[in-house]
Amino acid sequence: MVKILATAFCIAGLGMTGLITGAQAQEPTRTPIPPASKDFATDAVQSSEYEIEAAWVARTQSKTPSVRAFAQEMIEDHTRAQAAMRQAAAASGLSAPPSALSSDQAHLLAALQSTRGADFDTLYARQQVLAHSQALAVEQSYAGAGPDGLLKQAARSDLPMIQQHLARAAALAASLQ
Amino acid sequence: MPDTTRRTMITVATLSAAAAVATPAAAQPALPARGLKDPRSKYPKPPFPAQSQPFPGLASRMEPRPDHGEASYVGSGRLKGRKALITGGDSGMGRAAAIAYAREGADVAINYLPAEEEDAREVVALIRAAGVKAAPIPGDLRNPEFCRRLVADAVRQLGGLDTLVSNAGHQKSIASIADVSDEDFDWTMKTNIYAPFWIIKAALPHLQPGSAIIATTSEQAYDPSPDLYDYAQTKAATMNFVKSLAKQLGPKGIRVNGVAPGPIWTPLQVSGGASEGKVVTFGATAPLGRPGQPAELAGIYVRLAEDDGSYTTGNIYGAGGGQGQP
Repeated sequence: MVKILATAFCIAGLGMTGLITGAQAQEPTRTPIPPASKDFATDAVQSSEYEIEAAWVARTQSKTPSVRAFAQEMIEDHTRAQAAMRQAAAASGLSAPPSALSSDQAHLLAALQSTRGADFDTLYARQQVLAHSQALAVEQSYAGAGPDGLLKQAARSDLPMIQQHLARAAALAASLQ
Repeated sequence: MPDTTRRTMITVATLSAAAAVATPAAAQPALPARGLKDPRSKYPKPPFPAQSQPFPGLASRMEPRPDHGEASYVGSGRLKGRKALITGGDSGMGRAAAIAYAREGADVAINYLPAEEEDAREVVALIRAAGVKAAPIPGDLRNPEFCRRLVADAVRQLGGLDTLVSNAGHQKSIASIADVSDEDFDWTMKTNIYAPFWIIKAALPHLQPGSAIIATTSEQAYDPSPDLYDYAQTKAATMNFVKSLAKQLGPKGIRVNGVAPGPIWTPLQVSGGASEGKVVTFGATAPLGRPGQPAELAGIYVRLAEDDGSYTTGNIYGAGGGQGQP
């Protein structure tokens, strides 16, 4: 019995190690499939729309100066980026991308609207990290291999802004812990 | 002796005595330490690395790798002697169910696409390591002839069939109905609606009273995402057939139930099921703040198959991370 037990523990341990090594050793497959131009334009416009709406909620519900200042910057930067993206879409002959939120963004906004005080601040900062990580993935993939020149240019000019926002959101999240 | 160790010994002793071999029991992982585990931090949280794979995608290439209970699921003979067929058993919830069923003592046949062979081989090895029979049966469920052959092969290789997990599904995120081709629509309908019909119909003559049919539906059945127009309606149909078949087959002693996962970290999501951007924040909307792992649903599939759950039929069990229905 002792021997069987030992084997059981040993195999469980091996299984665990195997999994971890596997995860580290294997690079995720990244096939360069950029989103279609229409989907990309919609995504980019929606993502700015979410940033603007979430920032307005933050301006209304947060009393923390660092959070309010970050939110103000989001409103300004994303209003500008959204307008540029709409312009690029129109110039490329695409129909105007709707500014309605995606269902995921609507869920995130609803969660944000229902918190107050310190909980609000930490949730807003965490959501900002997530939202900008998502935006970065989408814009990077289109900037790299998107089929439309004008939209690609818009994506490229968005990238430094999104990277900077992401770094600032991560710093904000860390400062609130 | 601490309680956990004693339980492990009892499990091991029971299994090895019943199976009359020591190796299968030894392949069971030890019981994990008891105590509270925070469901928010138990598994990886978004943001995840941007990633996409060609259809149908492999669990082994996902980052982070999904957990199907490979190192954690411990059985206790709850399905001893049962014979199960699981479609989509190479990855995701099907793989978690396959591992759990095997460690609970069931012989398991798994179906998967030939392109998923790499994942399937790992599952077959895990099933065999549990000391039960594994029957890998690759093939495309869009073909009715294959579906009928799948059931016949499973029955022949396992020596019968009493548990059918209709789990394989096709999901492709397309923003507008205007861009859904007839071929796209047909693919989703054939895999998600026709195949369960063909398979259940073929399996029925083999199912004795006490048998169980379990179908994977989704939170999408109740609150569809706009980009999953075709997929979401197939999941509503699945939720619905669970209820009609439960009424039809209850009098024959066969139970029919559904499992409705929320956002679960599976290859289906990174191979076209979700947009590349959504993958990065996958599961962020759930109140637990992360996607579920297939391993977290294994116990539900066991529960719905085992004899202890004999009054549960026509029901849908959820694992939604705090969002959605049922």
